[in-house]
Amino acid sequence: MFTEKKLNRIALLGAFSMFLSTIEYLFPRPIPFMRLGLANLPVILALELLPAPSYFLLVLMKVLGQALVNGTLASYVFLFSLTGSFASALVMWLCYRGLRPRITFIGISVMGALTSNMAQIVLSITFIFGASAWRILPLFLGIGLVSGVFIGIFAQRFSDKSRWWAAMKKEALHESP
Amino acid sequence: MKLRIFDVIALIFSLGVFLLFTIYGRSVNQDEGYVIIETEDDQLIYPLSEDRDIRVEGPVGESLIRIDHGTARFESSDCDDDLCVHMGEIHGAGEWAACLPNRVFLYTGGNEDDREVDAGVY
Amino acid sequence: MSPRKRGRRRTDHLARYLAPPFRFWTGLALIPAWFMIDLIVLKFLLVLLFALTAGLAGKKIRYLYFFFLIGSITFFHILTPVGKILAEIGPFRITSGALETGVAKGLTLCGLVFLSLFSVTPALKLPGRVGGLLARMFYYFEEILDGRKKISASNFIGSLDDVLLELFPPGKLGEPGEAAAQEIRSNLAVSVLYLLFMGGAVWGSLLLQYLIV
Repeated sequence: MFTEKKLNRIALLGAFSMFLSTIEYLFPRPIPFMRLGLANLPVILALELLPAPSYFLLVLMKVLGQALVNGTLASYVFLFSLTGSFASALVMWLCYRGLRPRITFIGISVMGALTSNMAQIVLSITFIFGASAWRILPLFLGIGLVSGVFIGIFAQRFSDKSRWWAAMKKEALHESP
Repeated sequence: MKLRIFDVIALIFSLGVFLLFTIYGRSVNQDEGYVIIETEDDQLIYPLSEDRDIRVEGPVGESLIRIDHGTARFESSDCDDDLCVHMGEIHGAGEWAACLPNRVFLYTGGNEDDREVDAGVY
Repeated sequence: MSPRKRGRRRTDHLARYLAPPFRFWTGLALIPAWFMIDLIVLKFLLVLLFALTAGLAGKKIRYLYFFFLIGSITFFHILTPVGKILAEIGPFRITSGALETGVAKGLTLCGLVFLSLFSVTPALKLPGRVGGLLARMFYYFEEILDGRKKISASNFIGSLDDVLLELFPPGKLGEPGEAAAQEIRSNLAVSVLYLLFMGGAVWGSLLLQYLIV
């Protein structure tokens, strides 16, 4: 199912995502669970490149890789990240397969950000903050929405402009029967 | 870069979910009742939504207050007459029970009525 | 929680004596006891120990972040008053019960993250094909990190594209060099001491708690 070339592509995109998450640490974070979601960029782009099994393997790799490098594998951060990433990947994959060409990466990214943030808000209220946080935490979905739009615009531009990405897509196309 | 039809729908949908989540968040915990226990020295407060037993000390001895299914009552008290235990369950705004010999005063309220009561008292 | 920064990367002092899998399993063995300890003083002391150990492991801890985390958890718990009323500030009743639950929960989470920080290293090899794929991904990750100086903020997409084209020409993608095999060192005496000390500190605290209460 996974040829060497496919595995290399997954590893490369995963590494790309890990790199972007190190860049993201340069930005300040208002509250622990709110991120810009830069690391999500390769996962969005990968919709164009990878078939379903490889795509979800990439998501797993991304989450595992971050957990190992940051050292959060044995903590609640890993569980939150895993749940949020898989839920949003599934939604984005469904949007991409079902709604194209009437949707761009902007809509896909917004849906992904919404899913991931909702999952993390519900989990953090249940396990950490307690029911009182229902009054405040949902407001952060708004921030998530804005960053989702931003990442989506970025992904669309990268996909349109990058020569490297164009070459990657061309190569992947050649291979598939 | 142009937005396509489902981009717009995704944006509106997300905005909708955001608003729903926020409104739902506002409504949670609003009508949760609580009980305030006043003893000689302390004031204690507990939500009526969680069952628990509270023991407080007074001049006569110990009073046991039980929160159960959204109501509060004196379960037992080291006083002679046990009047407080017979006062039974309280749960609504402005309801109260007291064990005078042991100087323990119990009253319940909801968040909404809270302000009215305060306004009336002060 | 902190990114590995080239040049400023700190040395993992524990790696000199402890094998990564050993560290990982020791860490996991501490978790059940960690969750069962609810005396705040004990929790706090152990969090300090964990933070110190994470520092030894070369992890940079952003203390402000964790203060903020404990602070916000406590704040949300204070919104639902429970227990003795200590003070009233405006509409908020500060209660002993809410304060205790909030602080205890915050300490539990921080401790868990610190524990994870000193127990998990990138050198921890996961078994099987997932492990092999992870190693490959780390290799690419190091490559990108090396090229990151050439990425400029003003022309982000363009410069990122250049770096990616240079590092990973799509046609030739297929033969990643083996990730530099890290030398795994392990010292039996230190390992035993580590296990006894950490196990003793955490499980011992739990025992102490049952003796006190």
